[in-house]
Amino acid sequence: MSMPLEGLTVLDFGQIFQGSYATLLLAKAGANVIKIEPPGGEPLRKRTPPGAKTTLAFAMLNANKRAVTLNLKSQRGKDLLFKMVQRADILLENFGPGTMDGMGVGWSVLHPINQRLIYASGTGYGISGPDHQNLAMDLTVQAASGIMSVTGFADGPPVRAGITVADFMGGIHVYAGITTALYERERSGIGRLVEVAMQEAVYFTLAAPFESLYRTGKVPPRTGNETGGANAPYGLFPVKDGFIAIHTGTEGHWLNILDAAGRPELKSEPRFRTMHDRSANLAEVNAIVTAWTETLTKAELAEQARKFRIPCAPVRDVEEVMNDRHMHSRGMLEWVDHPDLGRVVLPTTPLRIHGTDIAPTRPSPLVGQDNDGVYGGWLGLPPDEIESLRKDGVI
Amino acid sequence: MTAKLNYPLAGFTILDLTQFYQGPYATLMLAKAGANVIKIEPPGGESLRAMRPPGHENPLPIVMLNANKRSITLNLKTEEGRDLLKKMVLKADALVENYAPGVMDRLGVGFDVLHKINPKLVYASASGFGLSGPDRDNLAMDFTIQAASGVMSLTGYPDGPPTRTGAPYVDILGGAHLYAALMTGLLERERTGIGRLVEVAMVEAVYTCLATGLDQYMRAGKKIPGRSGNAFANYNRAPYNVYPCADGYVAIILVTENQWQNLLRAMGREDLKDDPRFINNTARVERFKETEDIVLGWTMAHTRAEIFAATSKYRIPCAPVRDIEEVMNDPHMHERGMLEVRNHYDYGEVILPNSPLRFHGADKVPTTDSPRVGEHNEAVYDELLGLTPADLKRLHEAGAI
Repeated sequence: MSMPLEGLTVLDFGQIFQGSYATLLLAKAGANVIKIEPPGGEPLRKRTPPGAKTTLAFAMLNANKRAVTLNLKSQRGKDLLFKMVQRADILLENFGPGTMDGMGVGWSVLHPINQRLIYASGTGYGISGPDHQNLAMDLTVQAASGIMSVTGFADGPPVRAGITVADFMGGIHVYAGITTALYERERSGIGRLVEVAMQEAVYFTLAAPFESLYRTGKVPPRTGNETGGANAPYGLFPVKDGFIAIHTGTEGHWLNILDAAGRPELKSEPRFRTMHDRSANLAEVNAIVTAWTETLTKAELAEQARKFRIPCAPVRDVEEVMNDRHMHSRGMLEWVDHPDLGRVVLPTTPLRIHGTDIAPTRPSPLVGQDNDGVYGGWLGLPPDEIESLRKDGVI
Repeated sequence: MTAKLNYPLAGFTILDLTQFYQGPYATLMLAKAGANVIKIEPPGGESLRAMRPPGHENPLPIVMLNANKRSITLNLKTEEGRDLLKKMVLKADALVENYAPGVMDRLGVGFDVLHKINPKLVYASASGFGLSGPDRDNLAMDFTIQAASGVMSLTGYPDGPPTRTGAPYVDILGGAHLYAALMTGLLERERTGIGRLVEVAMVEAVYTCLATGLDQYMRAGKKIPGRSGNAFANYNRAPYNVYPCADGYVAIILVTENQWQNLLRAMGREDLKDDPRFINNTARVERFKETEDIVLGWTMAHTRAEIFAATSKYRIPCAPVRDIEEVMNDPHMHERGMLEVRNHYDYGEVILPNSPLRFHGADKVPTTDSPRVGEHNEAVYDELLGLTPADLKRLHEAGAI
């Protein structure tokens, strides 16, 4: 096996999505990730339905990690953490700002114990500034960051992106920050405090609406699946079994659509010649495209899109995506026999370093599953001490 | 730049062949961390530059995404242009590109060729569907990936169509993953001395973000979750929504039962604190509409600021739905240095973002404005390849730069 991050040890206080995504990617790149949870388990475990031990979301985000329990509210728990910090490369946490400091185990305490330690913090609004104490969840960050204000239809309310975009944007940025600090440490020998705020991680997604604001001086309205005149044809078009999304990026794409639609005679039609012309005659343009799409299925249209070089994609539901032959063939998705969930599809990692191996999947652990291995095998505590820690609620 | 600067990536040189949003976002973060980023554009400039509004040299996204980079021109369709690239590759740590799969190979400057010239070069490629697999050659834009990735199927209302997220986050998410992959390749190179081909596909970068939707699918016995507007997937949490108020909207989300009790206090509805109809999330989900009406009755009667003050006092996760003008002028992000007011040659006074990656103790790279096409031809070609102004004049006439 040759994995890019082999030999690095991560103390993972990540919980729910943001932090856990960063450490999942570290684990898949070969790092030794030790998930540290309070004795009752992290909050995401509590969203498990009655009778089950694990949810799919938990299994997706915690593969390839080992799990230990640790009670940071006890002094012996803190001492155990200090011992682990001496041997670790990275500590990650996405608690509210100040939580680790409040328990006496923040960056300023841990850095003197191990100057090489990289300490990564993921939060909603950052660890400084007037809003840093605001409670943050994906939905509230989508609201505060402006994403929601540009999603939905002009005559309807602001709409949430149906995925937890802020959490995952935060998570990938935390990973990016950690690897950058590791690279610097190779030269300096010193670890840094690395910080990501979800709200800041999503700022650049609004580049196009910001431009509209500068251009018109007005806050742009929501435009549903259209662009408000910037592009045509652009939007969702009906097919026999659902919808297809078409984005005409270049004038060439429009000519390709006409070929596919069997309307080559319209190529020289002045009303449709440029993007501007087509925007001015949007209803006609959309009617031409719809007449073509509505006679086909998603699969037939996707085939034509490939043949005629048209940027379009069927709107797929989660079941179609989970079973996507393309991602399965690339190894991004795989079928795994999970001890609690049975046979499920799990993702590996979107970070693909050719010529290296991706860590073979180990299913997500149960709470404290690796207490003996980590506290005994790695820290070298004798079995009776581990037993006493367990008995006293330290782990 | 010298390695003495207190920037995480000082001394690291990157050849940036990226365009539009995805690739340039990755190289922007590199530049903001102190790397020497050389943006290499075809003589007419990269594709996004053409989308400029009337009266401007560039669209605003160019200005946002290309600060702290230097721009040179290079025509890879000429033999001389390709030779120049190969010479620069000898001096660089990484090359980043987000052309469609196969484009660089067809030009004769793909990974296989460049790796032989400089085995230490990390070559980073971003695309919609990746460099392999049956969908590799599907054309990809943010909008089509939102459709293909399943995101759109979960966005919007049950009685409405699938809905695009108005912020093209797939591009930026892909770019952040590209940065992450590049840094990982660079870290490995420290150990092995060998640069790798690293790759990110947008459709894959989005997949794990579907965690909640996929989870609901499994919980419901493989029933595809419908769209639920601003409510939680399958309406399985309450209160969890965007609520209209006197002057706009607020997002409120409860995670713990304690927060429900606190919300009742904030709303002045402590009469409901022991009411079995609303005693826990399961009960409230069963009476979804009644629960929502209780919250609505309160929000409609108050402003965003009043609601936010009350929820903050009682530690309930809540945020006003802000428009982009409010976001751009956010005092919090300005105080943290994430946003700054610049006097840009093309846009005058304009608010520009820094990198969301924050390295405490490192110096902030002072912002320089996004370059004009080929603005740094003289400086960069001299610095890397020792070319003189006379050389550049000849290359320009030959159409190589």
